Amino acid sequence: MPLLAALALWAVEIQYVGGAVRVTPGAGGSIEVVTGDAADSPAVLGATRTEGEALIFAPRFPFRPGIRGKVVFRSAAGVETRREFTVPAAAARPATRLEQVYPTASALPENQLKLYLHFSAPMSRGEAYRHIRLLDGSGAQVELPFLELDQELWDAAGRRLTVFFDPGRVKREVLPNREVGQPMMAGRNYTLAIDAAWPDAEGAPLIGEFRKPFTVVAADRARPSMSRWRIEAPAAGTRDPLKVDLGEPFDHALLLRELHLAHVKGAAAADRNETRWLFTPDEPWAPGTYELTAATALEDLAGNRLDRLFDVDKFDRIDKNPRREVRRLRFTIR
Amino acid sequence: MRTLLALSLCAAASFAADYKSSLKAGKSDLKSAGVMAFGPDGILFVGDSVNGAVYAFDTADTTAAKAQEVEVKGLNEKVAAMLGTSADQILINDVAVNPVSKNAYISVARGRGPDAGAMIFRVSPAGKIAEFSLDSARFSKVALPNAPDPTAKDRRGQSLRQEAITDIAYVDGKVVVAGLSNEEFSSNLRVVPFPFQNADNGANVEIYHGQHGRFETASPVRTFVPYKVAGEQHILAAYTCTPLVKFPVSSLKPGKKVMGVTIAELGNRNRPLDMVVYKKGSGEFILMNNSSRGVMKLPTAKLDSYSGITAQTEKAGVPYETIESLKGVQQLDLYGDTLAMVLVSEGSSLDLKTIGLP
Repeated sequence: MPLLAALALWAVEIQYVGGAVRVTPGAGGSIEVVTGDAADSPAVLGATRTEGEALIFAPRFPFRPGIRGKVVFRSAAGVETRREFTVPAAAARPATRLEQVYPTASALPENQLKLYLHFSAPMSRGEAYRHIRLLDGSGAQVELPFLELDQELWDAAGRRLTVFFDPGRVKREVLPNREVGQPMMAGRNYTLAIDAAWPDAEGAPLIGEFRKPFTVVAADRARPSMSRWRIEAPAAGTRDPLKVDLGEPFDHALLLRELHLAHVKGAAAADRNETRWLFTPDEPWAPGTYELTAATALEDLAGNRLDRLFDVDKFDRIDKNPRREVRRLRFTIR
Repeated sequence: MRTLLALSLCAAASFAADYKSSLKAGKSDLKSAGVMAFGPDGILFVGDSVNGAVYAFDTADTTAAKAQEVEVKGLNEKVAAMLGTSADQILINDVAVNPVSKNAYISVARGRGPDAGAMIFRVSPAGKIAEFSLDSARFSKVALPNAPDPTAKDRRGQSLRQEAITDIAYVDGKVVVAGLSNEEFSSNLRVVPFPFQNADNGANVEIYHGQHGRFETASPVRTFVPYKVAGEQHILAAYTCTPLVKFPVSSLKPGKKVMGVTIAELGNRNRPLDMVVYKKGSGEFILMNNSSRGVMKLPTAKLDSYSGITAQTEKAGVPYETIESLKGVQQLDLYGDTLAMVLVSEGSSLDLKTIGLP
């Protein structure tokens, strides 16, 4: 080895600092960083720049905490120097919990259509169905009760997951329903179990396991009817909430999305296991006539809408008009 | 004959100019790279569920190449390595093969949380993996109209409603997009003309599949493939509740309900994932990979003549063959005339490779 090259090798310092790889002196040379274990692992994407006599490789994206990297530096003279580095691990502390599961009732119909899982912080995607189990009364796991989609049905913030019961098993007369039946049977007890290993968006497990025990009651094959709704009007001049007793539990998301009070600003909420809708106005109520508007897309727990059943009986009259419709209910505040 | 040829060439050239000019240079705001499909001339359509939009990228990848056997072991690990992370921190969402260049395009989520980055990688027939830059490619996009919210004015907070784009295909100047809402269980198949003009061009179509005795429901489409029956474009769609249903593309009109014909039921504990149509010998076939029932092969000739499953039949419909040797196929696309590109899970490793069409 020529003396000059040996000196250069001796002098080169390779450091992992500030999320980047720094080679001093390195100007005029090249850097390749590999984090994969495979022999043919491609190099990490990133950009190399010169700062004084240092050559700096900044990865396109921050390295994962705890990951090990291999650096190959080739000097301008063609001398190769190799170093390994480890990105400091960040201990991910559990901080996220499952706050609520809708429906909140402890009795669900045999043909329950969906569940909403609300988390306190954004969650990770890609392994939801590994962490959600339905257990029967003996604690045994019910096999494939849910519709498992590649595209997990999260909201944009990653805090609410929608889980559909397998519609092939819920719907009457499709093959899975005939072959293996409904995932849940009336009169039996079940537990929805969410394990703590489910990583949140930071990669930390949940604070604890979540369990929702419930009883299954007879299938709901009736359309919800607004004629059963009872409106409790607040007094004029107050900001007391308007209370609408819906007579049966409704789908939580649709209840908050599709039921409105026309021309009044305020905040809506659901309580009493989603059998009641509350509306608190921003300003005190003025005396007069008000109009509650409900889109026909409102659903009960079994997916029966105001205008049709979840699985339509063809001998019933089917509303063939796919347009969105609104139904109205008037009341007076005195 | 010559005149005719010249005319049709002119028409093709003006169409190409038309959509090429609709694609603008610039940095795309793609937020999630999901399902993908190739259109003409290296145009790559990408479904972005987070943005509720479909993007068209000009890959400028139009140099014809011959199909050859490809094998990239541990594609997920290699892509993760390029991003300085581990394979459990990325998700491979789809694989689409450019039918001209034979490069495979891979849509990837970098990270697992809601802020995960959208990336697309290109794998050459030689197995070399490179990033397809979303910053410099020419593109256009069309937003998919979300459910109208009549009270947007008097309601605080953001809607939690979002639509997952479950499949996408290009058929004769139209992009067909299947979606599933996170709040309603209903079928939503949109037909968007390409080049994209404006956001209102999407047509909402509800599809009912009948023939289940007396019951019918609007059910979301999980995956679908266009194919021709007697010269007419049809869609063969696999529903989330397992039936395989066909209907003509021409029936997909805005605001119209379409009744599909159920031609097969594929049984429970199974999820259809991808479908491709191919010719072999004198026959035409559909190959479909499934979550648990392996890969199925159906002859399309039987689909054409099949009148539909009627009430009270047991597992029936168009006969299919299960290819036992193909296990763990997560993604499937055509790769030339005689091969398919598949992404196969081997333990925690996802291998990208070509297989002979059965």
